[in-house]
Amino acid sequence: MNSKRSFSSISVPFIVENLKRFWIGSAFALVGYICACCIPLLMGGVHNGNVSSILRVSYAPVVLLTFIVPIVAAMLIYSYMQQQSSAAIVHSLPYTRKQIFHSSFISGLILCIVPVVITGLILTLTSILSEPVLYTDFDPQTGFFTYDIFTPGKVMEWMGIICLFNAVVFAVSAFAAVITGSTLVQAMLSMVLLFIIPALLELVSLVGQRMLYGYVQPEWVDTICSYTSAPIAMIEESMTAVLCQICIAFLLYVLAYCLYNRRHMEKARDTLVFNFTKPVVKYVVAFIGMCCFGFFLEAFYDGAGNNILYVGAFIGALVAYVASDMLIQKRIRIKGFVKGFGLYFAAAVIFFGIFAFDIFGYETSTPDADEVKGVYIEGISAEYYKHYAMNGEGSEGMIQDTEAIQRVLNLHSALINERDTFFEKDNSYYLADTAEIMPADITYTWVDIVYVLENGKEVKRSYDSIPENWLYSNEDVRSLVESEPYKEMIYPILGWELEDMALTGINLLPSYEGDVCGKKTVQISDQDRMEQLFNAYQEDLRSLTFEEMNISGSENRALFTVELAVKNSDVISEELNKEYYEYYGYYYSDDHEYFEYNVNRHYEKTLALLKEWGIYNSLVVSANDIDHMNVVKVEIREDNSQKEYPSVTITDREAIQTVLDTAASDWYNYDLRYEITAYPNNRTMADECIYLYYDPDNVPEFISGAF
Amino acid sequence: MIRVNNVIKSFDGFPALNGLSLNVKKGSIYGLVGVNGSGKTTIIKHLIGAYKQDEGEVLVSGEAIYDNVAVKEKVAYISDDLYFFGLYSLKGSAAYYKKLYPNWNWERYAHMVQQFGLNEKVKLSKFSKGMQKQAAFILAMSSMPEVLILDEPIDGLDPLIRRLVIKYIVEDVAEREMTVLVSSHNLKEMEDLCDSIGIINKGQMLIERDLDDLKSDVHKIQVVFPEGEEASLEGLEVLFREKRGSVELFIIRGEREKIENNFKKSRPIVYDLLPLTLEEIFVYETGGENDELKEILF
Repeated sequence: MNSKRSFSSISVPFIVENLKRFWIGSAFALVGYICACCIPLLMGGVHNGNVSSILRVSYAPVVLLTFIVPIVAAMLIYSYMQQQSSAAIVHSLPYTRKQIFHSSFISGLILCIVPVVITGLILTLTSILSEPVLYTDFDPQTGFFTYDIFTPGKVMEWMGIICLFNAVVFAVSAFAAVITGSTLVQAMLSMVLLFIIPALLELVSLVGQRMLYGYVQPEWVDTICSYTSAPIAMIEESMTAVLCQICIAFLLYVLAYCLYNRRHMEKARDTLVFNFTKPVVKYVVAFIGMCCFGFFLEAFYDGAGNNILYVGAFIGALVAYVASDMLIQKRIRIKGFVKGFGLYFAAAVIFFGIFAFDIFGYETSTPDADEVKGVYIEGISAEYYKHYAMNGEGSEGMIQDTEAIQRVLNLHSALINERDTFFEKDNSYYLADTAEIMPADITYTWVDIVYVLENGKEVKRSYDSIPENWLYSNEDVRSLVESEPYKEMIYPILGWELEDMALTGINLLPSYEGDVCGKKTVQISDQDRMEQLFNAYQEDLRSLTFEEMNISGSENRALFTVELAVKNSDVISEELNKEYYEYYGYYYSDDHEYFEYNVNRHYEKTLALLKEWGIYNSLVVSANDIDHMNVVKVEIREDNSQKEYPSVTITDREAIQTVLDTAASDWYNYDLRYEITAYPNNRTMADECIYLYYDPDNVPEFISGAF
Repeated sequence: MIRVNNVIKSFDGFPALNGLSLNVKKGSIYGLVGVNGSGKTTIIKHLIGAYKQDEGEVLVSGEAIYDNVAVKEKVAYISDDLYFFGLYSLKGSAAYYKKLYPNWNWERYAHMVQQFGLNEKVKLSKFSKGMQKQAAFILAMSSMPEVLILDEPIDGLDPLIRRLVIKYIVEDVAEREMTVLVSSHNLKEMEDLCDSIGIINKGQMLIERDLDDLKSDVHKIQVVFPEGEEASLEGLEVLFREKRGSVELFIIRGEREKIENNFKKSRPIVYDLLPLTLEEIFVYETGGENDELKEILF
């Protein structure tokens, strides 16, 4: 019987012996899981919020336990390997190495998983004994439905996933145990291994961001980060990542087994037991030290340029390399420093050289026009949101017009060619917010470009700290912004055909100023007028010039808002909608969808139409609606105190109208500005006033001259 | 029973064993002697299957022991640096050993526990170092090994227990033909116990001899001859000769009667056959001028 047991891959006595010795660790873990999962249910009650939070894979206390328990279990189980006496005794017993390795691994898994299983069973029992925890959801086809989120099945699913992550972290720790000769180093390495790939990728990406003009972190970096780190995968609750983790755990298990068979037991107490791992660890530590200290020093000297970065990188690499080598060799006077660090230094020079000299042409390459299927561009007009397309959200509105694509390519080339004129200091764009390197009289902006190639791939570039005056004077930018394809991208309404829309009404909503002056919403439901207004609005958009699209201050102040009421084609039944309203207090789907667009003074055709119909004055604030205006001059001295000026009151109708037409809703000059409080007729309360501002460069003479 | 052929083992370039060979006959007790760092523990860890040699072969019962469960089941090992499984008592350890060693003998275990007077229910970690050694010895002997390997076994044991340990070993060797390899840095400890001795230094075997042959073959003689007389050394192998005044000292290899007859021919005034220590035998065996050996032995 003994012989039979001896020649199998697993030794039951070995496992039993491990469990007898280390069950206490498992017991502590169980207490942890019970505190994290069962106590909140007992204390806070079995209800929806509690249950859904506890059974979430990313539930923080469980993530923490899943991270700690397997590492501690591996420290206990493999402690025999890290002492020469115990390693000799265990290997003198009638076991094969295969049996010792597999049995140790299974013992560790049992220690990790048993607390999860017991917690799962307690939760299962609780789910059986407690009332169903109903979660209500809504299906537009069938209406409301409820289901129990605290069923034995759900608990088992939770248990399975948590066990799996425990197994993954344990496999990582087992691998760390096999390649290290000290329990402490094993624990440290386990933690490092769980995050090392994301950390290295992020650091390389950070170097790219710092040193490559236009750099955009590839999307696959985030994907790989969640696929290669169990804690990150748990937090992101990605099932694909879970599958990837299973593969990683299996690979590490096999690798650990192969290495275990080659491990010399006399290496116990060495920091690392395999010589091939020593340079890897040293170089990885040196790389992390190099990047971290390089960036730290550069940030410390606030954008001082590449030389400081290189000095910091050298010091960081040197210190990290020496420290790690001292730890590995367990001596202060390390051997082979010159050769080892020399090799690393050469590799680091090549690494930085690749970025500094742009060896792969990242900075200078643009796609060929004929391989570009479409392009998204942002930042060249004031109408778009930053990084909308960068985040993969710009599936609508891609520019596919050949001429427009060529203009984007021209702009891209110009951005590349003019790079050196944008920045006084080498590569200073990364720290572009730093006041010392950015003259105060220049406004900077940004440009994002995403090319979608014919082969489906994307090329992304993001340029920060581009002088606004340069960008806005670029002929390609101007032509592009005024082009139909670009306008269709930023104003989707331009792509709409009235006959295809079930437009049932247009509401003209007063602005805030109109609101406080008692202006009311004007509803237009006449089909003919709606069509005229819709067409006028589209024409206004098409005729907007580059300057009009990039206006700010007074010119950008909305006079009113056009709200298009379009019959909703995807509406649920009235009965279901009513049910939904009763439950949530609002409707699942309205009969109508509403689209709102602001109108400023450049929308001439729209404004003319309203004037023609005689509804302009009932919608837009004029001098007749204002009783008087108070003007305050705000001047900030160098010591940050405010210089006092007496306020000026304006009652003249013409002057009031001028202010309404030209003042802005915000100010830009902190040191000197004019603040206007407009009092509507019969209104005196502060929240019933209109607040307008002038900066010194656009204030009318009758105001500046009054102080 | 144990055969080690030209084993080489290096630790990070440092040669711990440098072509070491040794042979232990079945049913014999082999003393492995050497100073600290000579390689005793290293070769023992090869013999129990914990270490794998870089070169050469380590055979027990004709088979390589490394990763060989069938051979390991026949070998019991008591380490100098004791390691016990955490929370086990002697009884718990015995139950564990029972599962591992097919020849485990409960009767012997019970008998030995009684003889050594240990409390088998107390955790081993609570035992003194001497008691832990006794416990390790009980466990090893109860597994009825064919080969017993002891690394510095006598240290820390009081004389009574030491005698008891030796008694068990000798009995098992006599009755079951158990093969024993004992390591020590002290040759005197080995003298009464071992059948053969191997002395190693710097990872190499300096000398390996059968003690019975040695003791019956080498003689220390102190003589004083009348003036004008000299010893007749014809046919004798003189390992060492020294004259201090009229007293002469001889270390001679050969049959005792033949030596006596030769000497008595010259009618010595004094003729004494003195006892030889094992250290002396080894020194004279190697010509009396082996500094390395002297360093080890004295």
